[in-house]
Amino acid sequence: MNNPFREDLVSKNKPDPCSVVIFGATGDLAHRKLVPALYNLTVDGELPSGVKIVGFARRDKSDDTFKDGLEKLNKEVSRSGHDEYVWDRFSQNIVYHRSNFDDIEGYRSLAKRLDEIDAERGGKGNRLFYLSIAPEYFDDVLEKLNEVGLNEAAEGCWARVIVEKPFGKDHASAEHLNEVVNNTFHEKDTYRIDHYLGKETAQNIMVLRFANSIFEPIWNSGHIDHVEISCAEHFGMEGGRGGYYDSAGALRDMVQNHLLQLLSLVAMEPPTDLSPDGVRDEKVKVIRSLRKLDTPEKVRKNVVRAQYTKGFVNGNEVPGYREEDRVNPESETETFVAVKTYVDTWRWSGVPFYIRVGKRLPKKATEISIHFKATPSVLFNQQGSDKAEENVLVIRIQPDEGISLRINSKLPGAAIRMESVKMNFQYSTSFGKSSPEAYERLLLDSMAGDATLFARRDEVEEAWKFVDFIQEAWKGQHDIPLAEYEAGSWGPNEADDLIEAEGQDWRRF
Amino acid sequence: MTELGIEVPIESIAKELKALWAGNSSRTNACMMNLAVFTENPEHLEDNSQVISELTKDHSCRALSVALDRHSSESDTTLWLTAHCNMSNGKKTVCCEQLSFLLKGYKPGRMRNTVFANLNSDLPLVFWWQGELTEVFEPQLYTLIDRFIFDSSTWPEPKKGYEKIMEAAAEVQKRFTIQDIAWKRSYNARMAFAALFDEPIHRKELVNISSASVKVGKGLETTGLLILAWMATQSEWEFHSKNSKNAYSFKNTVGNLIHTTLDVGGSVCIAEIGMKSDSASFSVECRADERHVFHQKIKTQTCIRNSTSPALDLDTNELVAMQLSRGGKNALLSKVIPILMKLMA
Repeated sequence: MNNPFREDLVSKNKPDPCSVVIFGATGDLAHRKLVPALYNLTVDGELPSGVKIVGFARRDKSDDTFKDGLEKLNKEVSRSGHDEYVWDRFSQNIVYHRSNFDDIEGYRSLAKRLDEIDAERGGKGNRLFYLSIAPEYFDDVLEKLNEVGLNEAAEGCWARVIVEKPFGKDHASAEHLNEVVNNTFHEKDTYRIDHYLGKETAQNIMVLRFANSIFEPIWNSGHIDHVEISCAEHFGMEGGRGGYYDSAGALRDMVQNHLLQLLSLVAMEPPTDLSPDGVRDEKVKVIRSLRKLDTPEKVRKNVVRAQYTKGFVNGNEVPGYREEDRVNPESETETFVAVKTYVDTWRWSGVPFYIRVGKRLPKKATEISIHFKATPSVLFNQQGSDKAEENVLVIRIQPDEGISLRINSKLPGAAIRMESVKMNFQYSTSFGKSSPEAYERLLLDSMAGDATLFARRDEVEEAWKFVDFIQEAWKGQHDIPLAEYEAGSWGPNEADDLIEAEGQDWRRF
Repeated sequence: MTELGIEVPIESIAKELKALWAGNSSRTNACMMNLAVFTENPEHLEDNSQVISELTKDHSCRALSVALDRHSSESDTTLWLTAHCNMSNGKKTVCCEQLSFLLKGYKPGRMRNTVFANLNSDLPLVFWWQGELTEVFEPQLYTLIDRFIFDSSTWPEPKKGYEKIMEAAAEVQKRFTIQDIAWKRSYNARMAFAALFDEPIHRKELVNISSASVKVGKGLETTGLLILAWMATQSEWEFHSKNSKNAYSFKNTVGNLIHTTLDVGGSVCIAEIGMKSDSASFSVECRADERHVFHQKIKTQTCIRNSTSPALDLDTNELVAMQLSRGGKNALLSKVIPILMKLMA
């Protein structure tokens, strides 16, 4: 029996009250994203009452010192602002549970604590375990949860696990991690976060494609010349990120997850329904259909990797990557990747997809651009006359969220001269209500049991298979160079060559 | 009337609108909807301009503010033009047009024509009707309205007003989503109350409920009736009888009688919503000295739980702003109306 009074009060998903156990609760993610997200949901009245937050971590803290630390960050980052009264009430539902990840007694006492919380709430309850920890601790945490039975839900309740990226560092490790997770939790209770999927603009890709009749008939190789998916960041290794990043690199940090997820949303077939598996079935087909770069030669021809050298960003001089804090001075980690790939399906045959990601580029922007084919060389596009620019549909994921369409228009005057103009829709000037942040949406969805915006096991593993070929080629020292680019530029010349080989060029942001 | 902008001849609207934007490329004209605001109190025209200025900060629109002075001995139309501009993300200036009309003397169809002639094409028409529904609310007007916002708590005869609304809704069917501010006013209270039944074990008590009560502030009887109607509809109670003023009985799905009361008075907008059975009570209360929170209370044989939920004491203009953010057909309000009509009978 659903709660009849919830009808129409939440737009789609009805989250269940639960205990949220955050492993790694003293870490940055919990402080900057997870707890502020739960706080914002409380401010909006969206968080079910009775939600308790249990922070599980190794450091020696009391409930109060833990909450003080959370409050300090919440004041800085909460999108709703920080209200003392609301925080006071909200924080009454936060407790700290100190334990090492490999200490079984810590889990036994956790189980006891959760039972007490459930009793106080009026019966056995739901549990959400958030693994905000490095993957090397997954085994310990999941095995211990299994051992004390916390992975098993009481009748009528649920127990779910949320895992953060990086989800492995290659296919083999991802497969192993999936086995470890699925030995403890069923796949239906496993939620792999890719926070890009929680962004309003990423969710809007499906609405744009399938709630408007004009796009689907032209969303194919008959009309589209190529697709670009770019994620540019202007920052480098601030905040001590160098340590983590140097072991990951752009390919694993961004391409394997976020950018392939965006690609799958752009390239997928219409799902049969909007159920989580209905959507994810179509997405995983796209990833499986990516043309494999299964030889070093193919990698050399279709992938560019590069590392930034010193330069200027936002008027400030910045060091090169190898001079950054916590980065190996001889590092071969790429901070920039450009990949040319194809989705070998009937819809997309022959249409190149260019994926580009880089740090220390001139500005921060994540955009998808669909470049349509040029008009025939008659009428307005003849040889020797002003060329009509191709039409481009741009989906701006962040910042300046919105959609624009570039079309050609006649310039006023007697002669027929053309110029490109932009039809532009912007979230900022269109919708009054500010969207919940990605983590707010994702946490609510996990409490409601909706996995649509979470990556499924096969999606993750197939994405790793694609990326593994590239990693192997780089590791195998097959004379695949690590190019350089100046910080503040748009990347290495080699990336320009990659796209110019097809007579195209990167869209200027 | 400087709040309304510059006075322009009505036959030059198109030219004047163009001139408003010409030569100023630093401003962006943003428009997601047509927002018509209608009042039969001409003195509200300037106030409405201020209200629209606030609304456009978050809701870009072409605003058509119309005031009808039906008792005027004259018979003409005066028009003013202005733009409400706001900074967007601290970067660019985003502006919305406002056309204000003062219609002197009542002429059937003139208000309708005024609105229709000045709509921004292909965009939805959101119509905010201030005050009682008069004969100006007629089929040729409402068949083209996409969202109709009103406040039934301002009507001297809410039942008659709702009968007109239902007649219009039945006639139009495809569009015409109704949005009652009196209903929206209770949103946070309903959210707080709904949370009391999130646990399955508490929902099991619903079949044992024997009484329910609602307390609302002075002048908000319709809001109180809407809340009662909502509780009854969602609990699948059938209306049984009206026992006295503001006391009603219902029967639940197993034939048990539930006695309900509505108290109107005091300064707190929604002071209490509660349900009780022999062994449990569920309530949401808002105190005069703590208006920004609802105190949620659950007391059963196995648990006592107190928590809080936000209570936004919003004025009419803020409630309208919330309505403008809303999509969908407002199906729940439509579902609640049949019982509401019985309570108002």
